[in-house]
Amino acid sequence: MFFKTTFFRGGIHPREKEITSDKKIEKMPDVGIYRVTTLQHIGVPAIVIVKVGDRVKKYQKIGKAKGKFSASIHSPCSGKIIQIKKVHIKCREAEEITIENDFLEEEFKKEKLQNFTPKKLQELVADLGIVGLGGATFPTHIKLEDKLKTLIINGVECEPYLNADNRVMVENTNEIIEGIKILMTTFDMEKGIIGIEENKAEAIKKMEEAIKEYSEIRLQKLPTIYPQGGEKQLIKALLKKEIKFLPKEIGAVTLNVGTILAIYRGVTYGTPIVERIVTVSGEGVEKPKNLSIRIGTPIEDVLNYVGIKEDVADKIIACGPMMGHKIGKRGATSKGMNGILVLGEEKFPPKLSCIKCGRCVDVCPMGLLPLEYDRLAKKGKYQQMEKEFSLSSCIKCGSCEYICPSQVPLMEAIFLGLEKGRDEDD
Amino acid sequence: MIKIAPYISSNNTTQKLMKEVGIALLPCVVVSIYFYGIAAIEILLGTVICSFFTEIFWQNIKKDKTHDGSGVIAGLILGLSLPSTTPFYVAGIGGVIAISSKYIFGGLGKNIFNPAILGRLFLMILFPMYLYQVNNFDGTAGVSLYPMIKYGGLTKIIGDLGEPLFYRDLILGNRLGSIGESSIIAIFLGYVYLVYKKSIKWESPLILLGTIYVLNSFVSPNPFLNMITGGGLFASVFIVTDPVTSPYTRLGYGFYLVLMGIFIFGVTELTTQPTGITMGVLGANLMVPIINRYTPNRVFAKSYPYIKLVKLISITTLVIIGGFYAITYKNENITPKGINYINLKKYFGSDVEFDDKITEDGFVYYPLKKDGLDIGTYVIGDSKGYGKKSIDFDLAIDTEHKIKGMTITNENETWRLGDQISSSCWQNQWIGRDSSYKFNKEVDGFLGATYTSKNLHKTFKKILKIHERLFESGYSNIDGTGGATYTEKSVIDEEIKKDKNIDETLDIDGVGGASD
Repeated sequence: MFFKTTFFRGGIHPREKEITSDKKIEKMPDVGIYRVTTLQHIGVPAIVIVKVGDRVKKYQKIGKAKGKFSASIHSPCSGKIIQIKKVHIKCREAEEITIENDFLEEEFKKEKLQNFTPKKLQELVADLGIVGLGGATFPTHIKLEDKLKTLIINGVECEPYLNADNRVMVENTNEIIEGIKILMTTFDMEKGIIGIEENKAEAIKKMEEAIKEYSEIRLQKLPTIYPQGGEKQLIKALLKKEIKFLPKEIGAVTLNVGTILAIYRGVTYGTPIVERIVTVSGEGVEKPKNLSIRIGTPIEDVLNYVGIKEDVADKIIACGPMMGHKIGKRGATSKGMNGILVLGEEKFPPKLSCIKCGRCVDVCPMGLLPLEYDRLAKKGKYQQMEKEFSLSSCIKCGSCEYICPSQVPLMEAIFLGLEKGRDEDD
Repeated sequence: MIKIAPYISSNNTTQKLMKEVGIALLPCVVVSIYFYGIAAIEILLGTVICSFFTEIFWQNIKKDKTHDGSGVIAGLILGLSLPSTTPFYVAGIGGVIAISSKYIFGGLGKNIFNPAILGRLFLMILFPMYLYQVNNFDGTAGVSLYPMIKYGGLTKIIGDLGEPLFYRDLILGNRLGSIGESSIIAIFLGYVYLVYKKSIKWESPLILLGTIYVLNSFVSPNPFLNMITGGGLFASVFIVTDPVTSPYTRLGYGFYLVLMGIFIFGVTELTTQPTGITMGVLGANLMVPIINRYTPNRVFAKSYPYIKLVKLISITTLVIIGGFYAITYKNENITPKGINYINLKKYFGSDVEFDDKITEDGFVYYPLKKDGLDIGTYVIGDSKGYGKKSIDFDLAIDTEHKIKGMTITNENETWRLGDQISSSCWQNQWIGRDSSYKFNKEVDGFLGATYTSKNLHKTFKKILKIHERLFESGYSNIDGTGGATYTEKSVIDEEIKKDKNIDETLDIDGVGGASD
């Protein structure tokens, strides 16, 4: 474009607030009850293959992927299934399996994979229910195909507060490198690029040391800017190429460091995803921590473990503050939940009308005109949003609303537009 | 409703932006009070207080009690863009109009025109006598230094002060101009502060002033002064950077500024306006919706819609050509330059006989006879007005080369300033004067419009001199071809030239009053 930055246009610099960047990953003690939902990924909910009253072992599959665009669900503990009920997650129907932990830790043993072929590895990844752990929860096995040339390892973690990926890179460096090696040799990829933002100095140092002997893996330091962790933005920053939908178009695959770690563990130990690193942070938390939490742990237990300052039932946010969503205490951790935040008393300035200052236009990493969406949403012209202003290109990063001096609810307009525009088309 | 992400927000707020603009305006306020004292304070208080209460009034009507401070800032900018001669109540009316204009469009963010500039436009229409005071050559007041350069001659101004002193005054602000726009250094301080705070786009003054400079360099010997002496500098930092009335993409913004530069240049050069800032800004404001529509950013992974740029450029070219045509269009048929028999009857009575007319130097002379005797000459001519349009008049000269009567038949001078030449009171002053009459500013000039009357005087003087030459040896010798020989004519010309040298300041373009 006319005003090029070094990697991509737009972007914001949210206040850092890296409260937990030096906190070591702690293992959270087991709890008595786990609530696992069948929709922890983008796509179709998994089918429940257990019944109430069944005994399950740790790592046992309790939800089977339904079709290709789905992921399997595994039990995080050994115990008894005490309830299966219907719940709504992101406006979609899914089922919640409640497991009572018997603390016996009986493990469901799996066969280890001996010699990998791309096909076999892909099947294994699908079987273990591995999804993108960066937050998007896109089923990983769909990404892994033949004819991949470049592996992009996403260690950017641009959302403020979150440090899950950062800590994984610091503490599980060798496992990640091993994972990268497995993937690259299996899929016969030419090069691997690790992208890390400059503010994670320790992670950069450790990773640099670890990749010294591998000439085909390269580490790229990136300036700290949000939303660089987005797939499209990261590929633009590292490869200077713009993708329309999926990185497949240019023979690349983007994997989060957490996902690579999960693949490595799956391949070497045969363990599915039943655990993940979660940053529990925010001004409302007494002891901010990076925790290794079993998936399905109720939020309430997590918050009790770290301690919260006041009654914050309505201030709990899952994932990062920029793209996350509010979650009640009754909710449970899921595969994509890389952070649980309790933000302090954040005073939002009063909402004013748009003054057309163009800041949202300047920061939009996709080159869109967010203020037009607000205008059209007020008029109810949802279809025009897509027709004239290519709404579908929006990655919903929230930069526009973050920067807006008038606190215009731009994301609301965008979500409304996506929803209603689709409805009207039908 | 549950708020959706993002759950954190930047510490930008509209109030903060307005506060920053207010702080950036402080140096200008200080300079204006330093140079104009109580007058500046009166104007600023007038606009700011009126803006503030108008804002509250409208907010009560609209049931919207969020104070963003934009009203006070608009009032402050309006106050700073007024000349020091403006009375406080006029300034206050401006403030009321400015803020009302914003709310009539629907409030902050929905107004098409910059409120301050729209308020100023209204004041220019309602109170031209205060807003157009440009020709107090003693340098005490005036709306802008630019018109003096446009009409008064740069050499005279620099000659009075000396070049170093002239530029020092220019930078410090000790010069003609609206109270806030005169000091380059104060505006620069504001600019640096706003750019540091990222409140404005840093390129805005560069693009706007650059455009004005480039365009002026085609017509002006000193384009730098044309760029710097008007309100352009103040506008480029505080007015065109108004977020509401400017495009939101960077490309669109650049385009907007270039367009505004063209408008300002066009209005300044082609119309009677002393400087075109007001009209130029409003004209460009009007184009903003179109610019926004055709200058989107390139969407990620999509090619740039160049066709939109082509459309935009064609539309703006049409607008510029149309505007140029509208401004320069002259309907020649409206005022036929013929004998006005009513006036003729007034001067010489009825039953006059015509000799052949003599056309000399663009003036038409009709020697008249009554009952076989010479009674004088009826002259039709025109003179250069304050702007581009000329002043048409007829003149009766008696046999002793004195003015017998004069009527302005057509003029387009500024209302309540230059157009006072139309008053019979003023016209009757000329009766009995001959070519030796010296111009008296107190008697013949108008406050705020000396230029018009001075220029007319020059034209009359020229007519009288030619008349003296033509009818030197009496009326009986006239053979209809003009009695003057070549040598005689050149002598007269030299005399006129000498006359010009005496009164250098009057010489605007070296043409004097002759029509082209």
